[in-house]
Amino acid sequence: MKKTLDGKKIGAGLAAATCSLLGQPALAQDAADAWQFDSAVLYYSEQDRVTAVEPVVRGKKQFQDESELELKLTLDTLTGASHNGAITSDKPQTFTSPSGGSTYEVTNEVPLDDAFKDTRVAANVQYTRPFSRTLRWTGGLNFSNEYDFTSLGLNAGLLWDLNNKNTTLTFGLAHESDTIDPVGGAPEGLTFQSDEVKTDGSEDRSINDFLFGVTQVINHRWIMQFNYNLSVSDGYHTDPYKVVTVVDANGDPLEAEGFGATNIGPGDAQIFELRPDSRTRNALYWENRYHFNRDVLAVGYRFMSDDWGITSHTLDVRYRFQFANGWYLQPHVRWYEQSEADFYKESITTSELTALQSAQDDVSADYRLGNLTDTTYGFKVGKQWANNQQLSLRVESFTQSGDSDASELDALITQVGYTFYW
Amino acid sequence: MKRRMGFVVALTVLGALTGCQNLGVQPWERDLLAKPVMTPGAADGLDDALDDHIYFSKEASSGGRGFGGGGCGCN
Repeated sequence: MKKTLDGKKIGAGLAAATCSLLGQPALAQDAADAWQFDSAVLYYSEQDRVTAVEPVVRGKKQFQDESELELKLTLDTLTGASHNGAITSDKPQTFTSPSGGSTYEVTNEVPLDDAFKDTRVAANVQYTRPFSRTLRWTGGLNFSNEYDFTSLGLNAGLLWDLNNKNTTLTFGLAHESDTIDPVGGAPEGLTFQSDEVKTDGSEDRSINDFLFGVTQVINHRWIMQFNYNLSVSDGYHTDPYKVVTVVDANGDPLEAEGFGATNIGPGDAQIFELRPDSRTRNALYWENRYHFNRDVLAVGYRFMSDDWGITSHTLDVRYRFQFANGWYLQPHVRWYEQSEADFYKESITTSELTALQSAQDDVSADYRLGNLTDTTYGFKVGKQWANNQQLSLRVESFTQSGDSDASELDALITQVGYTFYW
Repeated sequence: MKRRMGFVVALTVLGALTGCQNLGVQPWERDLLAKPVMTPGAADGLDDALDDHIYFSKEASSGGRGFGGGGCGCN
């Protein structure tokens, strides 16, 4: 995460591979036989923290045998600062940079690691093909690479149309294999950051997903989807760049040397976090789309719970005002709430540290595992032309709020999208 | 207990599917449903995928709409 991705080769290679697939001249110009390209650039900007610029292009083509090929390429450039896990204190705190090369001191502010910089390249291929009048199979590959992280995934699924195509059942399986290669090595959990006890080499994680979905037409205006998703993840889940502050009875940061650890400055009793080596998540998703005479209302709800003790609710509402000349305006509201993980602690005391270390128990002060309430609101405005070309602009405001100062976050989401056929 | 739960779930799914036979439209009534804006997962183009990535890296939840996956490093 510390250095710019030295991955020009990977990026260029992928681009070349995709271009050679996409670059073939379209045989016919009419939309039915052409590639559909969806492109977008997302600009995501947090106040005082991370900024991301993310261009995406997706090409879709339907063949005469009703099979469909989809190719997607995503680039993601991240810069800025990210919360390092420590408490916000009016006493000075000292941290080491992830590479171990330097230290930095923070007082009266949310401790941020400002060397956050990364570039991600992701590629997806998905192919769907009917093998009877009511059955289709689908298979896909995903690849994602960033400086300290590589992910490879494959998926397979079956889509089954029933009741005169008014009901579609989806069965899906996915496997993903992740390799995490932290800058400066993977820290040993629960040890002091100032001691820099780290192991060289990479860490692994594998995820198996199961998805069952029912899509149901209710009437000629209303369609509904219901999904169940089970996700089982095994391996390294710890965030190698996050610490937990050890505090005294007043809640002030303690000194590492008080525990026999290396002294690098004031308030340096910061231990590396440690998370469980497995996680099982269950998610239920319910989506409704209703077409009024012109406008469309879409309401989505997700319930998720996992064996880390986290439960979450997500509500997503969009309303599309459709105007006669191809223009539309779509307000969007999203509301999200989660409960904290069992091992989440904003900070720990000396006795808690002793207990954690003797039992090798899990602890994390990452605010994203604490209680959270998030709201997003904004709008999208778009125009569709007669040749199905489409241009859109999305502007949204995203706010997070939880128990700690670090969880108070404001971000702006801006996105320009363009769809064309070629 | 688990077997009973399985039985109840199977019965519910079966009941729902049987019930679904009374829902729906004839092929010639699909004018509105055929629009991309009425297709779950495709109505808003790339928005869903971009949103999933943003929220996945800022919240402890993922999946539901599609596969959860392990996604990115996302600090």
